[in-house]
Amino acid sequence: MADNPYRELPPTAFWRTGVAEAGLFGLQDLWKSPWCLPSDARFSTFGSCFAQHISRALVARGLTWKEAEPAPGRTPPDLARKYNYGVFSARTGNIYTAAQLLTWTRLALGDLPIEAIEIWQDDIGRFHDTLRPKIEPEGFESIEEARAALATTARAFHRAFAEAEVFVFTLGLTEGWEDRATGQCWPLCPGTGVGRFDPERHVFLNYDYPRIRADLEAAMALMQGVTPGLRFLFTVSPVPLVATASGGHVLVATTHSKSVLRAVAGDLAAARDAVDYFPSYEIIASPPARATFFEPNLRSIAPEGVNLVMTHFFAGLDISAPPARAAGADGADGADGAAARQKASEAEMAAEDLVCEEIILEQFNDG
Amino acid sequence: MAEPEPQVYFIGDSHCAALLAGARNLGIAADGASWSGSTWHDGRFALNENGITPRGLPNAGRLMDALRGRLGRDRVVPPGRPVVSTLGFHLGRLVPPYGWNGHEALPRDEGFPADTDVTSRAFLRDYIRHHRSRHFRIARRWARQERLILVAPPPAFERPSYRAFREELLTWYQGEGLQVFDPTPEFAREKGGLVPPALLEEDGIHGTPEYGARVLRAMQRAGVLDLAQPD
Repeated sequence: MADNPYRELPPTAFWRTGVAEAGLFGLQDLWKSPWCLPSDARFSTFGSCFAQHISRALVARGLTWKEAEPAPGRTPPDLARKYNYGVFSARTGNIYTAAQLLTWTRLALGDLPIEAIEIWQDDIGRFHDTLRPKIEPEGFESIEEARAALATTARAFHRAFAEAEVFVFTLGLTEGWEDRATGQCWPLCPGTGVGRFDPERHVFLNYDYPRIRADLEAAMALMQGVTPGLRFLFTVSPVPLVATASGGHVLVATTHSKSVLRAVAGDLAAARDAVDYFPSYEIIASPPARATFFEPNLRSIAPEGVNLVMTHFFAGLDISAPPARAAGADGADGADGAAARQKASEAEMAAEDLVCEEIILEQFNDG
Repeated sequence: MAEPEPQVYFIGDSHCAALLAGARNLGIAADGASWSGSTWHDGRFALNENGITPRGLPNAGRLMDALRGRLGRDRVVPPGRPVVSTLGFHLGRLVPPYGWNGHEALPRDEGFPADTDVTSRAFLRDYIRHHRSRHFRIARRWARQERLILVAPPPAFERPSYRAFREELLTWYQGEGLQVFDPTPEFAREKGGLVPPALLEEDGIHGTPEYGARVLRAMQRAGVLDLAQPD
């Protein structure tokens, strides 16, 4: 028997062998999923902007990314991008805070009415959804349209947790803004693009550990009320804050923000079997990377960094269990509701083509 | 006896056939050719100095050759004569894919039914312009070259998405100065504001020659179709 517990630890438990000597590209066993997932497991992805890399990587690897709100059929890719389709599992835009995640969950379940979200009219008469201020490049043409589009996304968000095995959420910020009167959280400070800042109404919040944890636990409980077996994989975005309203230096505020988020995610993963934490933050932002993967603005992450993150993700992911769903079920072979609609529609169009040809042939009828 | 020189020409998709037949029912000297809307949708047509012509479609090419043979010239539509077309609509190919992922396009000012998955109107505009930009460019060139009148398809059935697409296309084409006739108001007093079944072929989509005649009369009343000899 060893004289102390450290004698029995693997090399990865020691900084020298696990990090310093391994080097950035020699890091091993950074993450191993505690779950053996079915090979057809569906992943929904949401969160801050870094989360969109996960959806792209899942698709590139042929895994089942739950696209709960795809663009209409035959939408060209550049148009889908312009309107923010295909970025996250539903068209929520970035969800930076746990409070926003809880808001979306409550909207999806009808706990919170769509009308609870403020729709703001700009100076040229266009309307903006303050829960996802950048979702429409020109804004909406009416308040009714903005609400109908928000309700569409809320339903899609519901599908994203009702029809998935894993809900991946990238925590981005602790700092946020709320409406003192309504309690609505804003993803961006009013007045920084959408909305008009009112110091009497709009209050700055630097969400603390208990509030973030409570919001995440509430959101998870609501989602698991619909999908009891749903698992949550949290990550923390390594992208620093653009600015802080905390009164401190943005570098210090960034470290505080990321530390709190990292602590909440880690503690939830330790406390619950259905929660895990994936260390994308550490891969990009810790000493071995020496800030290599930050672009010159020291915020944006270079594609090489994203690739390294996703290499570790797929190295630790276990999808070796048999498929959970029968062929023909949603996502199993693509023959889901959308595919069935497309098949029926194509048959209808082909039949109409035949009819068209018959109409045209009548031109030759001299009788 | 030689056929009289047509007063109006009809060149477009299958909906043009009813308009051509309707013109003949009205005793209007008319000629033309039409071929499948799916090939129009796919952009398989071109415009040259002789007018609009199919591209890579042997059967449609033979129809146009036959038309030129009947007219005895390469340029189908002489200067000043009207040419009626359905170019740029082809809704049977344009609208259905929009709904494949559960979306419904809604006509403006008709509200948003609960539980309907929508896109914004701005998205719908961009979607349509993506799929119809070539049609629009050629229609605009064609209208500079000949007296082009576009006619929207019959309002034959009630589907909000079709109405929304039609509305958006009409707004676009008319806003850009194209002469476009929408037959919808002509049937506003009919049941459901739709073309009566008696004026539709068995498929429920295409108009009969009687439908074509009624639309042409409406076009004449509206001053859209002027058959007077050009100067």
